[in-house]
Amino acid sequence: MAVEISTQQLLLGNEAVALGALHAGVRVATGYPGTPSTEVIEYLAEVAPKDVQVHWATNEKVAWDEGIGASLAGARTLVTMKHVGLNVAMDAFMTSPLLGVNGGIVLLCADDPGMHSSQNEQDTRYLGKFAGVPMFEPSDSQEIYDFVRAAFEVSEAFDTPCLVRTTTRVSHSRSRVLVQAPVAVKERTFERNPAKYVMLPAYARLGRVRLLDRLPALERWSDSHPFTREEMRSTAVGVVTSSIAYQHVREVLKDASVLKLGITHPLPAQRIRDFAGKVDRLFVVEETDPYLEEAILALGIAVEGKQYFPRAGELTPESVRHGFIAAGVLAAKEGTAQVSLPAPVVRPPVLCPGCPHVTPFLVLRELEAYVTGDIGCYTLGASEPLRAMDTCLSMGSSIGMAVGMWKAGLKQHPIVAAIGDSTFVHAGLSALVDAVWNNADITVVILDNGTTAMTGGQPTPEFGSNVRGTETPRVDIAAVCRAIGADPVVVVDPYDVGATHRTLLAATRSHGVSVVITSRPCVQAPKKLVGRRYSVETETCVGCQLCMNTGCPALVWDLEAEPYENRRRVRIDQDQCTGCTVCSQICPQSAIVPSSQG
Amino acid sequence: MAPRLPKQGNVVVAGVGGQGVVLAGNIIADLCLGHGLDVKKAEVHGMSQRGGSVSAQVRFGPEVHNVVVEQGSLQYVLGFEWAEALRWMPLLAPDGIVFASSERILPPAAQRNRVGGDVSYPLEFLEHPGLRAVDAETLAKEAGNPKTAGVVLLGALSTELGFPVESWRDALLRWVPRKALDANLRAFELGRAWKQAAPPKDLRPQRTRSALFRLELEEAWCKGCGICVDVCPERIWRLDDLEVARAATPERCTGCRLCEKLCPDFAIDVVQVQEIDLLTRTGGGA
Repeated sequence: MAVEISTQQLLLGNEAVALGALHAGVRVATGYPGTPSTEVIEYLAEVAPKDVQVHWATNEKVAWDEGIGASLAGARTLVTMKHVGLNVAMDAFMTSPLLGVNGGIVLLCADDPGMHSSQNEQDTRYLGKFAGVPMFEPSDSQEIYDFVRAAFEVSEAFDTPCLVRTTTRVSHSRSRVLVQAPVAVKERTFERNPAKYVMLPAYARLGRVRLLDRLPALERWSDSHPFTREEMRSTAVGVVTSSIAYQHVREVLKDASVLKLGITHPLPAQRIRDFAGKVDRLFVVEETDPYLEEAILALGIAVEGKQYFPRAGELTPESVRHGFIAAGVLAAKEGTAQVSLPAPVVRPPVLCPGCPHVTPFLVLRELEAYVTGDIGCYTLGASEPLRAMDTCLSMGSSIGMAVGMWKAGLKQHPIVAAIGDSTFVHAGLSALVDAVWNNADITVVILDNGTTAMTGGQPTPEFGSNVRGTETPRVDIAAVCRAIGADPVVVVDPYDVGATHRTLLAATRSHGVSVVITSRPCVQAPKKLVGRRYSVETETCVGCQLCMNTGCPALVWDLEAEPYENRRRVRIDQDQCTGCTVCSQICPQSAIVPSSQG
Repeated sequence: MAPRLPKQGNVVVAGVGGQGVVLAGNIIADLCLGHGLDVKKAEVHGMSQRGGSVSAQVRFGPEVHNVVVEQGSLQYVLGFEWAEALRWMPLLAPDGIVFASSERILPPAAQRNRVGGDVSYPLEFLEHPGLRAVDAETLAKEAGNPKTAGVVLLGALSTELGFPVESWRDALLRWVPRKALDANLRAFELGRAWKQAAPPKDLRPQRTRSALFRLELEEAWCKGCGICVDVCPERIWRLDDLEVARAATPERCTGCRLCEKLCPDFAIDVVQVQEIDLLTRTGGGA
């Protein structure tokens, strides 16, 4: 698809990343899906010419390793991940600035303040500083586009990887973008240079010195760069800010002077000093941790910040306003009558109708197993009504935690690790080797839906094709588990309730590491799957509502039908039913039958 | 008479995953952009899409900074589902308007009270001057495609958010799938001719009395087969160390009698002991 040049488009932040990289001449793009970063690779796969390598990696560390390899071989390279993904890549990321680059390499790392879809809330800016790389913090799609383009230039000019750090509100909002003509990039190829690229201690010491020498030059660069922007208005209040916090400040405190930071490592220290000297009161408004505040205090400049603005969760226009009211900068709004909230209808995310993860959790609940869970849609198995998960920590943690529980002597019930197929390949493989090596008495349930479902159905190594639909070899998870030495390794259809029950019961009773792979494609992604729909014979239903223990959203109370002994009978919402038959199999009255139409 | 061309505004489209909320937001944003306005739009991706609340916030004007709407400044809400529309009302500006579909999608979490069978579902704000109930579900079916309910609501919004009707149609042309275009254009017209519909019915239980139950087990007859443990929808039964069934949480019994009916040894009796008032949860006579 051709890319329109010099037109205004309403782009999602993540699309702006993709387009910025493309127009900067990116030749290799990789990453691991994770909200809110996922759409970058997906959009690139859609718009990039075929000679640009766009592919998902099995995890973030592999993605970053691929990225550094591509960079050293001369390609401009983009790597994407979410904040917790960078933790996985951290080992390679920390050492990569010591090697430097050949083709420019940019890491897009998207934080999730407020944890819309994450297991923790961490501020990646500390990691950018920790690694000593130039760090950009855009505040809208236009800045994302401009900053990503600039980051490739800086990467090559200063011989270092660059980090572009976004947050959910920046990644997942649309705003206008004026795009520029693509640049022509000089052809580069790999040049052998072990002293620069082989991190033996002797060479690494030199790399460390190169890294430290680079920082003062980068600081002068950030001091003079137009991305560091001083907006002088009233000098009564000055605000140092970056990212989405800048937008909040501009909306809430229109008259204040602002030092808008586009580069937050190294910080433009001189510009901050100059700005502080021009205003009567200096504030920092930033989301999550006091990264800027601590750095400014360390410069010996008096500044106010987190005593007024929340550290946990996303900033909101209200919280920024309240902060400035508390600081005595804004007067409290008059006449805003507090509107009371309606009785909340809780609508938490739930497993979809027909989700193949339901049955294994029904069974595990019944076996009263200690279930160590993992990251994915199936983490929802912890909530009502399944309530069949006891822990969830990080990608791939389920298996190691199960081994740990077994080592601690937990015996009363079977110990089961529940992990998705994509997560298993991401970080579960070495843990399974560990479990076999330790001869642990655990069962690993691999909830295999053939895709990375939570982030929208990205292909996995067993999928048979890549993000662009090209055919790829399939990695056989069952064969991998057998090769590692798990025994038995059984594949079962989770739509067969009886078989799933028997298989899990047998596996949890066997000694050593057993693996049960529940295999069924995700009903939502990448394709919506619908079979013959089912309905409830109202006259047969006794309102026991056992079927509702599956948590299937298609099963609703029949509000029209006459109750049975004061209990609501059940109805199946035909628009939602996928025909998985699980409820029909467990109905004690056999009241759930194929619908007459459809 | 056509309303004046809007210069700035805040619109929220709210619904449940899969209803086309993000698409409707894109159509509104596109429309504003076409009229030379600055536009920002916040979307929800990721976990919430799994059956949770989904929203899109569109802010437009000469220059827009923030992507999210501040409390007290929300001018229009387009609710694809009744409760989701009402969720945004506390942010509403004094003259704000809410077009709420009278369609109601009950989440599983609202259907857990199996004894009483009541649903707490919001019927507040019915007297709010800005609240407009639209029977989008029926109008969409009338347009020939139930999936066009969102476009019905866009049609209703177009009577208040005064961009020229041609601009709305152009935006629809650009965003809706070609094969569904006719139905969508019909839905838009039906939405433009919207009439105040009835809000959803009150779901408080019609019957106010239900029963309380006592579970009785003839221990000598129980051989610990565990069938009752497996079938109880409320997961009340447990096998104890002697492999005898025990009612661990008897107060949760809804009286479905599955355990009684399926016990192969006739060891279980479910006995109704008293009636309770479902609204006050107080007991009456036996």
